[in-house]
Amino acid sequence: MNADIGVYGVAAWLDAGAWAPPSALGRVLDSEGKPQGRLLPAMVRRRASVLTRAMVDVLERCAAHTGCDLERTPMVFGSAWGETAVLMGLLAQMTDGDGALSPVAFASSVHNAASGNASIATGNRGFVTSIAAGCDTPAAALVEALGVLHERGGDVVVVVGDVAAPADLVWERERAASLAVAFHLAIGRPPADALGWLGWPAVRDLAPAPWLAEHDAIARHPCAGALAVADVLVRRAPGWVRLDGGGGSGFGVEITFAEGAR
Amino acid sequence: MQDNRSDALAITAYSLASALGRTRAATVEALAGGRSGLAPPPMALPFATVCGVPPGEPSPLPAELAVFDSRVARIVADLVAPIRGEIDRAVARWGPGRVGIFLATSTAGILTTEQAWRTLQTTGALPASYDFARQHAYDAMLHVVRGLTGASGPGFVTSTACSSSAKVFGSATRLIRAGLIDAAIVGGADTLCEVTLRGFHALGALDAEACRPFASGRAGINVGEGGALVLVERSGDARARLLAVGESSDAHHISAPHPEGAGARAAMEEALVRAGLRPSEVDCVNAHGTGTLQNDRAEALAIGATLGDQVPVVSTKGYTGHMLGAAGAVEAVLAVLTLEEGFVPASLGCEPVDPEVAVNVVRERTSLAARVVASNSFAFGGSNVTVLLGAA
Repeated sequence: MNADIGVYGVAAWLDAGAWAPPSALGRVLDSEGKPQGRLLPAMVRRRASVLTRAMVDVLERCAAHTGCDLERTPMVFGSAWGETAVLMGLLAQMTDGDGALSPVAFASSVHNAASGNASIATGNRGFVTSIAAGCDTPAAALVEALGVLHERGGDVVVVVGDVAAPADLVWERERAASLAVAFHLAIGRPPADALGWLGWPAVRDLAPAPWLAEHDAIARHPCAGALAVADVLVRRAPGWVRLDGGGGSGFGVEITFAEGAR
Repeated sequence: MQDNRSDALAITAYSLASALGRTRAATVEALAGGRSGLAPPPMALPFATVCGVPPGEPSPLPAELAVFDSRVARIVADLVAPIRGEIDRAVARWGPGRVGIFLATSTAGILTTEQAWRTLQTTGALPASYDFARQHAYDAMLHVVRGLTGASGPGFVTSTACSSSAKVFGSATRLIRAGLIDAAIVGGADTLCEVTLRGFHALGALDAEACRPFASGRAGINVGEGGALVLVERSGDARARLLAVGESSDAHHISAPHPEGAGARAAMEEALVRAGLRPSEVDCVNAHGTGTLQNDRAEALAIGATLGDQVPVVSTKGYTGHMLGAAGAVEAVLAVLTLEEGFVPASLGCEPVDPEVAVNVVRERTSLAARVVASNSFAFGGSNVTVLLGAA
């Protein structure tokens, strides 16, 4: 199936401790500090989780690339585990004291907290969704997004991310970094403005990006494949990219570049 | 206006489990008799409430899928069984890679994690069998359905709180129309869990007694457990038709609906446009109708503005409780039952109807040869979905 979907913006945030990213990736990757959640109103920002702040930060930076109108652009959010840090707080409240939960925390524990807050902050009254597919989350988010583009044309922003799984609930060997990546996809925008072009994800016999293997905590992150796509886009390296760090079903996406495009 | 019903997708099979039972026959009987399935909760809680739980216990997973074991995974596996023959037929007809799986949940494996957390607190260690990535994570049910059916097309789990398993009908529709797949297993499941019950109680949204959607003095929701699966195909021997799905966002508040129901109205209007239907062609509405002051008032305003004040409106949450992430799929199936059985069930608990709810709430079981039923689902984060179902 020919998708001919242009990628017009990309942004990423990573908390992986001491790690030097591939040099080109540094152009779109923020790995220097805590996410700010600038898009959110102050009161919401203060209470927002790291995951929500990271996802809205990459959404904002990605959209700024080509002036994507976030009020009118469908949004596809993806997260394998959702608001786990908020859930851990609720579990602690449940077993401590009188077991009463914070109503604000409970409302913020839903998987679509980040997408819902993004919708509210941008005034977006259109299509917004939040999906999960384990290590296939980036692939699934792209499939959902391409479906929306096929139906509606125009633009879609895809934001995938997870914070590190709760330390109390996973073995140390399973602990991953925290990561969020956003893409602005579109049909019908000026081709010269596209960072690259991508097709429908498909299962292929692909190896994960070799540089991912240098850092286990990133490679095992369920959204690691999105970081690999970002790397390919900024390096302008055409070909198939595996959409997971090795732990998924083997979905990949073909990325191409047009002559003369930036 | 163009009639797009000939392009509508075929619903060729479905299954459901709720407080009304685990079979179609039990569900129809309860709806026809106006019998609620709500009962005291099956767990100790420091507050009063009522819940909806399917009778009996879900079956253990087969050994090869045991790594994904959780109550919600078992519920989903049990939902596959009654329609396994139809799924096998679809997989054989279209090919495994052409059958997608779009599921939904809001709780995922939280119940298993709650139990593991309590064990950790009391013993200092997690249960040896606990596996966060396979039991807690949202995609466990996806692996279970793939494992049971062999369907290998694209798939994911949508989690947009109470609209989750309505949105998946939209995903399936888009990808079938895009030509990526020819069929989809669509649905969702949720379990009771302490976080959810305590959380809604903390919000003041939980009724201590049986919920009363659309009634004066209504006091909130009852949480329900269960789920539904629906087989949607590009063509086939249809039990009903998936006409269209409308989706919108309130952009208002993380846990309260737009007070005038603006987003709900937009979802209903989009569904009508996509289906090529006039508002007058909707014969019945299965409302979101949760029993909260805010939702029911806003939804009634939206229904009145979009579909008028004469269309019969029913909330089935007085029968099943609010099944959260599973509500959309279960209530879509209940809408199909209205199409197939020719009656609208009474909206339990609705009397006296709130004077601010100026729509035609169905007070008693009513015969209706419906051709089109709208099923609404609205959620935290301001997510709104309307699914339009049509007679075969």
